[in-house]
Amino acid sequence: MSLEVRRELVSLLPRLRRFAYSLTGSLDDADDVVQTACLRALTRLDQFTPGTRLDSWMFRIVQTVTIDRARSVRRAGIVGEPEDLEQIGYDQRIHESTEARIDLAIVRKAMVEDLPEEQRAVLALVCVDGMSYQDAADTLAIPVGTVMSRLARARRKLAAVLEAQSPGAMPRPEQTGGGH
Amino acid sequence: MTRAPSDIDLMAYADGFADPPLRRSIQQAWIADAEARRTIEAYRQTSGLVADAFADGARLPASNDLVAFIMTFANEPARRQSSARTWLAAAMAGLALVVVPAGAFVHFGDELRAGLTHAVPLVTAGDLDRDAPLALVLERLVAGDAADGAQPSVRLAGPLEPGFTLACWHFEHGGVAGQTSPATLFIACRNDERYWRVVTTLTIAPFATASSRFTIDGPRAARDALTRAFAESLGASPSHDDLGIEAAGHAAATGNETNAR
Repeated sequence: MSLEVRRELVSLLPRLRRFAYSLTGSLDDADDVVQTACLRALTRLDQFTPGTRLDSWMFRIVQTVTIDRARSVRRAGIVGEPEDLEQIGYDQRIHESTEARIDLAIVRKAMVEDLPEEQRAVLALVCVDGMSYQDAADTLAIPVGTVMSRLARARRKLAAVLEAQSPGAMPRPEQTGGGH
Repeated sequence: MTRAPSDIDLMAYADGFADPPLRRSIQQAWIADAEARRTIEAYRQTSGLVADAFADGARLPASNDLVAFIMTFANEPARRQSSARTWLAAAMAGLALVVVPAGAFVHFGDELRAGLTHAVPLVTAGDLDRDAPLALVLERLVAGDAADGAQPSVRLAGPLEPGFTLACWHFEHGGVAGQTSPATLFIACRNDERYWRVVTTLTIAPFATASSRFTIDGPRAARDALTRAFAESLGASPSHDDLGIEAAGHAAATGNETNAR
């Protein structure tokens, strides 16, 4: 792996960690996932096409590693609580712009526990990483329409869960039909 | 647009990804609609909430160990046979360190399991040929090809010795409990020419009791690293005494516990 690619990979680490965090709900798990993903990338460089986007390739690897880990945990019968509110206590930081302030720990818990993996991934890429719909589609190798429909479903579900946790905290997006 | 914008149209508008005709249509005809405004606002709020909730993931600095690992990891094809000088060079360049409970391999795919049928009894400290079954399995693991079975979680365990950069692997499951054959944990280092060396082993007999004693071999730093990984897998104290682990050669060490529970 060239020095340039290694440096680019290092520069991607914060984004990869944030992406892994949004998929796992745990900073410790995110660190494990990112380290595994980096090792996998370093040993499979021949699968990376020069001139293509390293970030998309790495995001895909992080997503794959996360799925592999979740499967292993399920096989082993380990009950995972990525970030248990009972254990960590409520997050002191809150999202200020909502009508009733919403604890961010609840958002993390809802994202990990209430959303299927494929919806979590598009939500993480678009809303957390700030990717465009098209970039998210390219990264996940799915049509852009699929990205949009998964994203809308994920946000409706998240809004419903948050509303149930904190009644009146936020408006819920209504499905008005049409779309992709 | 004469029809009402769809839910997804409004989401694209809220996210700033609506194409110009759709954006104009929403701004001209629908932005005054209370329901449309509420939906747009809801989408913006969920986006902001999620972004805030996971912002910490990018705020904290990357681990220096991980950065060093990325910058120094070697994955070049083998050019010559392993030798003491090769290992010395690898020690300077940094090694991949793998802690593998052999018991976990029963979860792997058939191909891996077939390789380990012969390899597990042969896990002893020393160099491995490139085509040794265990070496081939370790290569598969490092490449992440055990997707059908246990996935190791990679952790940078800190230096085994000063100057080393290590990736310490251990499996999340496949531990001792319920196993009817010994589980062997070992640390294997790979040098920059892709030769493997098993530097320390710890065999945990089945049906071990609280008073069981196990032996561990290898250099002190490797023994400590393996003991820490073992303790972590049990959620136990890394104290050798608590774990019943003694360095090979100590008077009380047996390493061959067969006591039934």
